[in-house]
Amino acid sequence: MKEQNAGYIRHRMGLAWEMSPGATFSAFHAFLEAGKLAGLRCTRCRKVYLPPRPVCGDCYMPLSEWFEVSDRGSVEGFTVSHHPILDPVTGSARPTPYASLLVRLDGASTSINHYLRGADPRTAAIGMRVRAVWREPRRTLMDLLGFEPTGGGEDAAFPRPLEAPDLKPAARVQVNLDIPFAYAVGRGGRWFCDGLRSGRILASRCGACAKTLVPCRSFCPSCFRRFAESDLREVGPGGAVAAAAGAPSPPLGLIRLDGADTLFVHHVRARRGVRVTALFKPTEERRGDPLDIEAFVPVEASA
Amino acid sequence: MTVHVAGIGRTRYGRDERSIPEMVYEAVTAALADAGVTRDEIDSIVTASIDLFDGKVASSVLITEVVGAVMKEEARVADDGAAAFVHASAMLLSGRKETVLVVAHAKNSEADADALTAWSTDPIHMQSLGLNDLTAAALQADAWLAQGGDPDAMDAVAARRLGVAPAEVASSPVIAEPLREKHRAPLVDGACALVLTCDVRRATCDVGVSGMGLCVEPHYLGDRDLIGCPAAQKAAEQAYRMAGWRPEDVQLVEISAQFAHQEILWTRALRFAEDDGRRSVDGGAINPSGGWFAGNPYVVAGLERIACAAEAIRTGTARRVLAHGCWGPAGQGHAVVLLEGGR
Ligand SMILES: [Zn+2]
Ligand SMILES: [Zn+2]
Repeated sequence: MKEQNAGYIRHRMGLAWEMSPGATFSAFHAFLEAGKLAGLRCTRCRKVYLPPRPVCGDCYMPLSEWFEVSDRGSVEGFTVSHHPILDPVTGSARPTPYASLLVRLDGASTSINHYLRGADPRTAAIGMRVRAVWREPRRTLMDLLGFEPTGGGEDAAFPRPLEAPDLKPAARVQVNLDIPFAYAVGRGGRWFCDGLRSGRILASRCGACAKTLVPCRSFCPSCFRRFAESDLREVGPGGAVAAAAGAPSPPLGLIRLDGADTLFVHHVRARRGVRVTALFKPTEERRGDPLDIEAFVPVEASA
Repeated sequence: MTVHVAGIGRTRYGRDERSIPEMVYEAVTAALADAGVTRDEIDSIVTASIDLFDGKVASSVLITEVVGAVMKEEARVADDGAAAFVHASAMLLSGRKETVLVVAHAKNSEADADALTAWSTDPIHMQSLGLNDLTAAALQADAWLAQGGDPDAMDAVAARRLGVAPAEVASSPVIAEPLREKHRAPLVDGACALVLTCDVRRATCDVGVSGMGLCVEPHYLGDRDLIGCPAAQKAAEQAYRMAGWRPEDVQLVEISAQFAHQEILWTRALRFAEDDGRRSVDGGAINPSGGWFAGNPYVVAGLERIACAAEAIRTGTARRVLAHGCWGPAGQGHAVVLLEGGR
């Protein structure tokens, strides 16, 4: 990950959802709590889907026949990864090397993917017999930790019919993500960010369009001309608030900066129509991003 | 060749405890049944969804089976469903497809839309400032008021759509000045699906697409004319030109406005109202369905407007109608569809 002041802007993207697992998954979870892995069988093609889903994609039939499958199965495919990826569940990198498996559980027609546990990744092989490893109590597929090697052959006792469950949507599941991003700011962004660090707001002058565009950028959005450093113009720091929105805090505004033909988006501590100027943070606190300007404040207040 | 709207299907719009696939399946099967076609008769599927709302890296992965796209072609649009409709119609007009399914879905009860749309803006210039769809709309409303926009007209639009007194709108809590809670349409869950066909044997309901247009403005808010809404104007011009209509030929419009002032701005940009937007308040020809204020999800709102417009033709309420969809902060993108009965 690059440093903030090396041509990148970093954000931590905090996201939250309350997701509905729906009736199909709620039934699957209810079976799981009772120690059973349940799939849905298509009445037409007789495929047993695991994990279950509401519709057979091949036949376009709604699925309603529940069958139990084994928690043992065979590896149908695998790969060994040596490159650390960000685990979407934990948000941190998974230690390498690790083996990802496609496992078809006895009685299921489809395979599920998960990790190999309790064995050297190099021992992974097609046809290898494996067994699900759970974190107890089992509530959702998130409690499936992976698969470990086991013996024996395919169990013909599966799939076993299950009594149809009471289908009702269960409580929603809270999902939170906090994803770090580093965006390359590019040529135009670099000029803009470096300008902010030196206490200046930079725009690009397009001679062809006869317009001064703030913030400065790599290309003219109207005529597609590539801007050069010699096209940079300092605008502001004074201007007038063209529009203000009373949220978030401090409020957002569109500012008509002196010398610019487009409006600048930033925080304003003034209402529409008021003359304002950019209040920059002290030099040592600037990081080369838009927040180097604290807000636009009324001219009198800045004096 | 004419594209026909042959089938309409939708879920109830409100809080939905089903999973996204379960919800979408209901809308799709209803649309197929309404059109009297089977899944096998669908040549292609165009879906509209937004990853951020679904909490998925690609929200379309949830719905391939339930939209009947297994072993078929599926195109996906990450804008409003009205844009998906335009792309689906273009597919049919290419002469390479006969019947196409368009599907839009979102569950806005699963996350705070304003928290999510804060991540949909440009990360270098705007993201760290906290700009989102709500604050972009508030800036647009304030810019409109600065140019002489009438705050009472804004209250009146919301009051009419919500069926409450203007005073109730004016006294609802401020969400982002100058916008109050009741200036905004309720955001809910749901899915909408339409079957489009150029095969006249399948075109049972006699609603034809006469014109369409699609246009996107620049992303940086300060670059845009937030009041003139040039993308809405251009999308409408494209559609009028394609249909050979003048705005006065349109008897009814269904406009996607999530905020009250946007109904006024967009009615004007689509050349359906006077500059003060008064026709949008007094006339019954704008959003008789209630528009987005009847409660729609993001993404679905525009496709639902087209569905409502098609139903107005089916029921004989109007013969020539305009339906509109939009997306992005303060309506960065717009789609316009002109529908006509008896084609
Ligand atoms: Zn099947
Ligand atoms: Zn230019």
